[in-house]
Amino acid sequence: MNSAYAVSAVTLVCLATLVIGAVGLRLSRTTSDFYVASRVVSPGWNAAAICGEYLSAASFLGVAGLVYTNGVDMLWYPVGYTVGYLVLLVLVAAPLRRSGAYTLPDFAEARLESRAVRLMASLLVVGIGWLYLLPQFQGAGLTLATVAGAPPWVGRTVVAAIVLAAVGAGGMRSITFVQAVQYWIKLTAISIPAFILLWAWARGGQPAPWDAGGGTLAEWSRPLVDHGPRQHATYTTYSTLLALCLGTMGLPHVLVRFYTNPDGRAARRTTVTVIALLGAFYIFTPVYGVLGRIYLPSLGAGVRADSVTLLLPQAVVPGVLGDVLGAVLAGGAFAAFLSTASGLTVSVTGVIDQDLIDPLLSRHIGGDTTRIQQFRIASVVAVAVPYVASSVTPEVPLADIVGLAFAVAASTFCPLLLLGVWWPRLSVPGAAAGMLTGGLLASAAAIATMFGVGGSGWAGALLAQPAAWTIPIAFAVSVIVSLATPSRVPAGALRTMVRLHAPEALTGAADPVA
Amino acid sequence: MTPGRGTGAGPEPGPGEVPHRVRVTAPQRDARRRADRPSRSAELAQQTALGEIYLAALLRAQLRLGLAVLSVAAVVLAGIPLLFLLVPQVATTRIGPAPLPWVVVGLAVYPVVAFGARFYVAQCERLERDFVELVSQQ
Repeated sequence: MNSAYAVSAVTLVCLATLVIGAVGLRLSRTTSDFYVASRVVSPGWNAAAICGEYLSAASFLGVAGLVYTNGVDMLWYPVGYTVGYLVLLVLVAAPLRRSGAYTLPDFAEARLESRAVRLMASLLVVGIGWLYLLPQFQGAGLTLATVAGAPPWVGRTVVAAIVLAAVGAGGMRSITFVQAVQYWIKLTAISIPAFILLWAWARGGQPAPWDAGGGTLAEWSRPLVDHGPRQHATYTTYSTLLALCLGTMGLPHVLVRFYTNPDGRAARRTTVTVIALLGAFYIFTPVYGVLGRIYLPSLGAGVRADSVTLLLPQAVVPGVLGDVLGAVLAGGAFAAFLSTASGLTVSVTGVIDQDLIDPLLSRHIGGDTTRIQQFRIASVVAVAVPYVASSVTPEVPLADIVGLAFAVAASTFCPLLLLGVWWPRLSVPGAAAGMLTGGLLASAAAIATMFGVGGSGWAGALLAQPAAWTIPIAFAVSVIVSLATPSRVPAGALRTMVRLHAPEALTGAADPVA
Repeated sequence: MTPGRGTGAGPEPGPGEVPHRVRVTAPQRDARRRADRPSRSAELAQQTALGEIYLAALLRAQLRLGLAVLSVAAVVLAGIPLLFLLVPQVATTRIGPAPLPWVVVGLAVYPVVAFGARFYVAQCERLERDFVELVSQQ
């Protein structure tokens, strides 16, 4: 394989990100101020920006890898990533926008009027953000190893360094336009090679991967069949779907994007467009897994299934065309790592800076460090922890780690948001106990899975996809503790509920908090 | 901030082209109409007994709509694997060259979800419009 094309494509994407990060400081002073001040981003652009940040390593490489290994059941992953936005739309989009909260800790504090719950939400944002950053770094290492033969730490370091530089320079984050363009880059990079490879397959006359001869279907292509290490397929399918549907609303980098909508009504319309745009992307990702079954019957020892998207072009159309398509895919994959990683890093950095470093520093040092220095220290912490973790944790398939991040989010923020938005009797101890229980159970399961505890029996299945039992437990704890502590319902709960649900036309304010 | 420059996402004037004059307005264009009914909105915000009843009604209606949409989605989504499990022939049926599960889960689900989302938004906006009318009629 000629790696020159791929290395050029990756370099191009990285340079573009750095340049945008460098001018981001100047741009964001005008653009972002302008956006937040009058919030005039149209739902179409905003939706593309949300998708640009959302489509990560798991979407770009991980889904194809899972389909390649485990077959048709894995198609539920992208469905879950998409349906998560339907749940978000129906249950929380407009009320969250009307709450005026910029981050999840902001919402927790606004709704429950408690610093303790805010701190808890902050710690959770950091934890979920780190868990989600981990596969972005691993995916980058894998990509450069696959297309250029570099050792895995090279890709990890490149992404960590670029994200740190871009975020430290002023954050490419605030620029909606840039993230929106990222979506269209990724859609182009995944769809055009898919069409060409499908065309080559149709011309080549190779059999379909699901034909096992005699008109029967291969085991791989039949739904809910246990095979290999993945047992209890029915439970795993349902639990995964639940985690993805309910976890999206609790991801640290999702909520902040809704803030650029002018009002709750626009927040809803944005979400509808997000669902359409995500669907358009996700119909292409399984193509790589399916064609991989035909053209890459075995991957060789030590090659991860996550690299099937990158290896496929050379296998289908060897030569220059294969190199070029491989380069397009590698560039698109890097766009995915960089945009998701910088979105997550800004969210995690903001929380570390505001809620963790700030209270500590002001107590011990007083006003000794400047704001910007402190923000940069926070961004180093935000990147360093998952960077180090990505080199010491064993290699779990990318989409599986992201699935665990969704499970933790669904077991903690989902009860907080749903009960907070719809149930006036949620009390401070109730919210805290629910988040704590769900968070501890889901993260214990996540850590156990990453280190291979549980094996392939029922215990392994329950730990690998814990959402089906952790979410109900978290909800139950929240509700029971709230009912037991009616005196600790925040005093302004009803007033907050009015603000969350009253249509803008009535309250007469685009932003009721400002 | 430069007024009239648009969002940055909108069409920018090309080089040598005179920028269009743009009227700069506040986001709420119906501010005058709204000024006719300050008492009712103030009431809601101040959480008087009447406002509370109105809002509880809206809350219930919205929650009912949301849960209805989600129930349909849950039945459809959870029903697909269940159907494969209970009626194995469905799982091995083909649509053209591709097995039915691949076509349904990989392709057909997305437009259905998008349609459901559009339906929800239309219904939800109708609910809120009715509510605003009800409150301002008094």
